[in-house]
Amino acid sequence: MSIRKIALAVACAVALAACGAPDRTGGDSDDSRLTVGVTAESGSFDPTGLKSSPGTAVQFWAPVYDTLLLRAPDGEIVPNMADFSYDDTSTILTLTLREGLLFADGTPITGASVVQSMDRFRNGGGPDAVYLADVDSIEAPTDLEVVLTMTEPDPGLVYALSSAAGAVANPAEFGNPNLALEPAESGAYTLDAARTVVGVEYTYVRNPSYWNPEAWPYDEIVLKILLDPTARINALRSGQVDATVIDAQSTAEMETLGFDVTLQSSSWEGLLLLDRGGDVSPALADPRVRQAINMSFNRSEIAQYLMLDTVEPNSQVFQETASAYVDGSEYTYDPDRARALMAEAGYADGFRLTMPSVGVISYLEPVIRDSLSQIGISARFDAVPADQVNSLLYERSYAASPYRFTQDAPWMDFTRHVFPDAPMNPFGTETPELDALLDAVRFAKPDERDTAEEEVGRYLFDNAWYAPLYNSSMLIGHIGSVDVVPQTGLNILPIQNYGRSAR
Amino acid sequence: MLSFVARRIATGVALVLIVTAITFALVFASGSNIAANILGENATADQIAAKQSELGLDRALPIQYFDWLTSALGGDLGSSYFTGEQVWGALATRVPVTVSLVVFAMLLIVIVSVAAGVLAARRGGKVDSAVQMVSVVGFALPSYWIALVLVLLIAIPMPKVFPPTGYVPLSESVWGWLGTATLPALALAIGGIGAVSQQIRGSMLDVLRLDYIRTLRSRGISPRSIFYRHALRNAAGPALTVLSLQLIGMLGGVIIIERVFALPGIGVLASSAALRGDIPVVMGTVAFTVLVVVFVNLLVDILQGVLNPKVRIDV
Repeated sequence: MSIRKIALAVACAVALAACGAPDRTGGDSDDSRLTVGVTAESGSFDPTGLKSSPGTAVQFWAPVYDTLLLRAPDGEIVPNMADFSYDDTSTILTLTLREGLLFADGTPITGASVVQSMDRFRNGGGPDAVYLADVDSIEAPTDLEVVLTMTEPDPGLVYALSSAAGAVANPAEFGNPNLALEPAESGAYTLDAARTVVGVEYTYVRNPSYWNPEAWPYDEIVLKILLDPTARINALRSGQVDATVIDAQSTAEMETLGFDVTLQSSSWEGLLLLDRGGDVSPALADPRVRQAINMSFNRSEIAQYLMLDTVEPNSQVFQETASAYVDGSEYTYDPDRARALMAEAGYADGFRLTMPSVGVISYLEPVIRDSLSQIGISARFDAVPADQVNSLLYERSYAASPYRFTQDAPWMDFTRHVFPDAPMNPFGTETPELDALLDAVRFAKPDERDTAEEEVGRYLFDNAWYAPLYNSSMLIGHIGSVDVVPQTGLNILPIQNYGRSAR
Repeated sequence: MLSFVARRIATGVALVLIVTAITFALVFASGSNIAANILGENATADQIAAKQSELGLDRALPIQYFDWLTSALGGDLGSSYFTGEQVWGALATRVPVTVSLVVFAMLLIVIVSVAAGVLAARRGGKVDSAVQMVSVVGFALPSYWIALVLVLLIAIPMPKVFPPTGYVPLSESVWGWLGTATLPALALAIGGIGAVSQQIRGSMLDVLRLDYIRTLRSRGISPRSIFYRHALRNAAGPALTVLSLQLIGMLGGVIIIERVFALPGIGVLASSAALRGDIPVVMGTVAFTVLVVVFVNLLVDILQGVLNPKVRIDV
């Protein structure tokens, strides 16, 4: 056979195959199984090592560990395994377990087992143990009650109990040396070890002992770790996954191909202005300089031209739906006013600002450099290894930094970057006014807390603690038969928010 | 021969020690970063310090390295800081994927390169020019780009035959393995085919000019026998060296291919571990890779002796 005929035959075969490319946008998927392409590595299943948001680790443990409380899609904390109530001082939290709860091995979940699980968690030295640090005691006065006692109120406690700190593990499994790989299951699913390859693919099958199967519509969940964005797109296009994270540049293409794209608002991106005391960069001690920095950015153009309209301009670090968000407060783009503020502060000639180059958002560096140069600030970025950025910030090596900061409930965000001992307040910025505002939140009655949190947000905004540019979203590409419900207050979409579409 | 092998093994052991020590120093130079990475961005300074102490990261580097080395020699490479998986277990899962991929790619290189190189040397003229041009183009194209093109043109239209992501072990299904390994192996092999075919072509032309080839022709030996039995054997030596370099280079280049095709190989394991500071996994993959390089070099030396008695090492 001649080469020409062979080539023609191959071309025809390819053309026929291309014509037969599967339509993955609709209902030819297996309705009983959900396959999701996830973006990062898993963590340990050892309960002490469980991590809550931020991070993707929660996707891996949430199917197998049920939590005492739940964060609803609108961000509110609602009962899950237990109902909850505070006493009048908000220092005693009583959790009342549902009747008939069972671990995956069929043994009952009691108050005593919850206490054992929580004690092990908070004494285990894990990353999230700090969320129970203010709890003085955890006791089970009855089989169905668990009482947490604190010296002073902790508004973040119920949020913590909706995540890792509230994940209930089976104490009977605590002696298992392979607990990191073999979860002590209490959740809607069990891990199918035979079809799980650590770091590659995790398969979960429905737990027949679970109390609320209606909340988890799929009989089987498969999480595939797909680190490369191109691989994720290809997997979605070819039908290997039902949903996965895509990048902004692929959104139009995926929508053209008939896939749905859901935005999961997750983070803000911009500048952390950490050195508000002027230890490293004296200029940043003046709020007028920090305000000027905020006014030097044209947020709407950045969102439109750099981020292709996939982000929402925002000059506050909280989402608009958050209680700490101050309606109507924004820093408009006004370089003239910014220069005037710089001059008032004594920095008419500007100053040099050195920051670390943060790899995941290095695309912001030209914008930051150009914007700040308008007001005389010469921005320079040091090349640092990605895994050293946080450590260098903790060590106060830099006065400011570009950053992508995940957004949580306001109180949780306060604990992460507002309190004087917060990890991302390395210079320990503290004022009597702010202390009073934070105390007001801590001791507020439930119906007054939103107002108190808004006052903290107002303080942070007025004093320009940060220079956020926009809220960024995680883009979830998915087939039409999978419904994706965005989640408020978490950076990662819980697996529970994937459901069957009515279509 | 035995003393030669023993000397090469001893050299290999020294190389493993040097490379692992340097790697250890590089990755362990900042203990606080590792602990902070493990605990996440919410970690306090006290937590980080406690984790450092728990993992022994606050000890002197030589002591840490010595502990790792003695454990490794005893068969314990430790466990992942993040997943808790034994490093040996991770390697056992990932190494076969990469090995099967690399071996498949090497087979493609050998078969296609020999065929192309010999064809170019035999036929000359336009055939030679065409083979050279294709070889140069294949050598110049980055494997990452080739992988993306293969996915776009073949895998996406035919996902049931050539899945764009994932891996089916050979032990599970031969056809499944072929489906998931063919395109990645092609992407890996195309550059190597270009390099090795050129080497074979050049070596063949040199050998074919030698007097003994003319003598063989005058004795009526068939051209096929002259090419494949006599000339190729002498021309294979330099190509074997290039081939070994291709194999060693593949161990690094396979990372990109594994990422594009989401293959659970050692390349992705090593890069992920390095990025998040999973030191036991990094050290395990580095030690494994160095051992492979040492083994490949030793094998090539032995094969060279098999092909050409003049370069054999005498006992």
